Amino acid sequence: MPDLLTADELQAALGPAHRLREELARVLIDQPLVVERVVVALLARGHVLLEGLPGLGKTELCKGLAKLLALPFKRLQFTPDLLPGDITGTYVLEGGAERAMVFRPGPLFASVVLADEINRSSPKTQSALLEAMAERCVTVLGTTHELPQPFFVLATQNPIELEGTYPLPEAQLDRFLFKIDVPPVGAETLTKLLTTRLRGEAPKLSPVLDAAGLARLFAAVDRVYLPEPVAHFIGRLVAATDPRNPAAPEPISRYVKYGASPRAAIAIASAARAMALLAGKPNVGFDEVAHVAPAALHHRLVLNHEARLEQVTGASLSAQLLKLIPEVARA
Amino acid sequence: MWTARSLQLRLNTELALGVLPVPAWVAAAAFVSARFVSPALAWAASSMAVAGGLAWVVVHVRRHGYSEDQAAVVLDRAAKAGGLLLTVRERPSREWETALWEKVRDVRPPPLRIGRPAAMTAGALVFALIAAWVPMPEKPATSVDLAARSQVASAVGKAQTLASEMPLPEAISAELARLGEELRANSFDATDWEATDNVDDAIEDEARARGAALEKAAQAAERLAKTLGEGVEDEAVEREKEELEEALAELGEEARKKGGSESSTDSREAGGDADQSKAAEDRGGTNQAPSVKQGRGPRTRAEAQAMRDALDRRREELANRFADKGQGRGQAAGQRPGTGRGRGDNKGRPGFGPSHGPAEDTPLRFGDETKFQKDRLAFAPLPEGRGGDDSGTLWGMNRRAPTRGPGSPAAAPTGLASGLDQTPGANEGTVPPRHRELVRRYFDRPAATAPKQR
Repeated sequence: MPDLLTADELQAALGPAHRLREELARVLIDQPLVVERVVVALLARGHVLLEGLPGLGKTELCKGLAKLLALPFKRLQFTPDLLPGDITGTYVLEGGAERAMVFRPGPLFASVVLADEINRSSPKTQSALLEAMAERCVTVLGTTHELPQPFFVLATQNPIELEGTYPLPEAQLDRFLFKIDVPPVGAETLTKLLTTRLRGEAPKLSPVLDAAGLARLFAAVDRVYLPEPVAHFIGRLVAATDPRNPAAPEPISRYVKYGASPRAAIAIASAARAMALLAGKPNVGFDEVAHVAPAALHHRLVLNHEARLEQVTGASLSAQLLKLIPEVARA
Repeated sequence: MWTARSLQLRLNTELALGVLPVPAWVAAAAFVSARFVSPALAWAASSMAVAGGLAWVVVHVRRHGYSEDQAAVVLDRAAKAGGLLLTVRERPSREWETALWEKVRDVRPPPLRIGRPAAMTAGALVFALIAAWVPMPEKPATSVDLAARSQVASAVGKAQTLASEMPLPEAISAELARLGEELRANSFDATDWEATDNVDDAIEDEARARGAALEKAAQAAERLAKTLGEGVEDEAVEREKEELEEALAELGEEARKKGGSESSTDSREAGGDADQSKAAEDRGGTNQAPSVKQGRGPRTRAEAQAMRDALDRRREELANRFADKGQGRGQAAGQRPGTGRGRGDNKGRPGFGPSHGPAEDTPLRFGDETKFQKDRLAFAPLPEGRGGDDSGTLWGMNRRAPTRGPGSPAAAPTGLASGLDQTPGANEGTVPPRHRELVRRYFDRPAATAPKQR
């Protein structure tokens, strides 16, 4: 196990991370929580699903992040007629005399991929992202092609206009580190938007991090220490989401059909490390876990009909879970 | 400065003190409850309860207490270290330990909340102390205890009666003392009942023997008096005197054997001076017999008569006293719990043989005489004022013969009714008010008269 981060190392890592956050906050005005979670997800090398009403800046945020990172960026507009080959790439016959099947990589082969309106394409096409998001590679006609590193998928979806859309399968939802709800903005934010931007265009952004810088940040995040009691707390949190668990609280056993998977625990731990780094700490604490757990858990809980009837959401259940599960487990 | 270990001890101590009132009150309740059974048992029960309670507290703290890791988390939270204390415990880092201890140094844990449990525990202690100080009420005497006491008292009374005549044998005194101790210790059991019967029998045997010896001496004195009065030759007188002295010596010998005195006062008291006996009679003393100078005996007929009278008086007195005591014993024996007189274990003490059968002066009945005793079944009318009189009333009630209804033949009154006055209303005053109307309706009116409507 590597040594703890020193104060200098922390300070060296904090600079670029804070700059990234500040620049991103210029893109999405008055949404510090959303920006922070996107940065945390980036540092944790996780994918993000942004959900919000149209026109809240979800796509601009993803585009702005891509500009700030100076990384190859591709945008995928998910339409109902999109095919998996359109995403992953396909083999085409090329050549003159000696024709051969040549693999033409699809838009997925970028470091930052914006999957816009991801719920508009068919599940067949959506499933093309499963392998890419989990393993950062794609397999086409039996040949596995590695995706560039780092690789991020920033997806957006609209909670309204459900006609002609396909809800994401649980397997795909489980691959997103965070599902961030972008809330509507108020009058003051709109005033600021109108006075600082022309026709709502995003400000010009300059890259603040390149691939090397990002790699250093990733290394720093990996060296953030996770103490055993905190890891135990994360484990108890995720285990408590299983309704079949005798230790599961009453709201979980009542409203949840399927709980979170071990991927959720890994996601929480990674996000907590990134959060601790942003806070300038060499270790993860209970506060970091409490901060990132709701965003990491709520989209992974499969709710039953009773929850839908009583309008209980995953977010409310995640918040209740944090109150019901103690940090220290005592008999 | 706090460490995880020291905080763990503090938290578990607080937990233990919080549950301490439970075993404290259990021990106090056990102590107070056991006092009603036995004082010795109270201390043993409370000691066991205290030991068990402390063991329970230890088990409770082990199950519900804080581990060192848990205490570290609490300390980390209290110091607002953000998990740094947990990290340094697992991955020591000199650089971060300095920052950590600065935070931990300023930790001020909340005060121990032991006021209420300490007060409750003290309350249990005070309760037990008060219970120990308050004396237990005396156990009420049961009917068996009372019966045992009266039985032993009866035997003691008889022994005192016998002791007024002769020194009480040591065995009897010792046995009575032992029975008294058993009563005081509240451990009077069936064997003690048997022993009481046996000592009672032994006292009566002694009294009978004493009575027989007194009778023999009295008869010897009477014979001497008769001999002296007849003016027979000295040889006969001497012979009678010797017999009298032998009888008196038996009295003295017997007393010495039983009571252990060398020269028995009885031999001196049995015979003696006629003046002394006369003076004793004047005073009304029963045991003040004329004294006898050893070897000389009464010289005149009057002296011999006086000696005989004294001996007779003592014998009768002894017999009368034992007759009274025997009546009292019969009443106490009715309350005894079922052992009765018998040949049970008398604890092997010598001198107390098996209990005796019926008294010797009661004639035995054999054969048909036991089945039918005419004198017992002879008719005797009830005495005046005890239920019967000449008019045939019984306990003030008159016999009532039922009168005939219309068309029914006249029936002669039978049984009790045949002896009663048949005149209507003659016996009304003796009938309770609630029955008078009934009686009047059915028995007083002529057949043609309809009963009154209520």
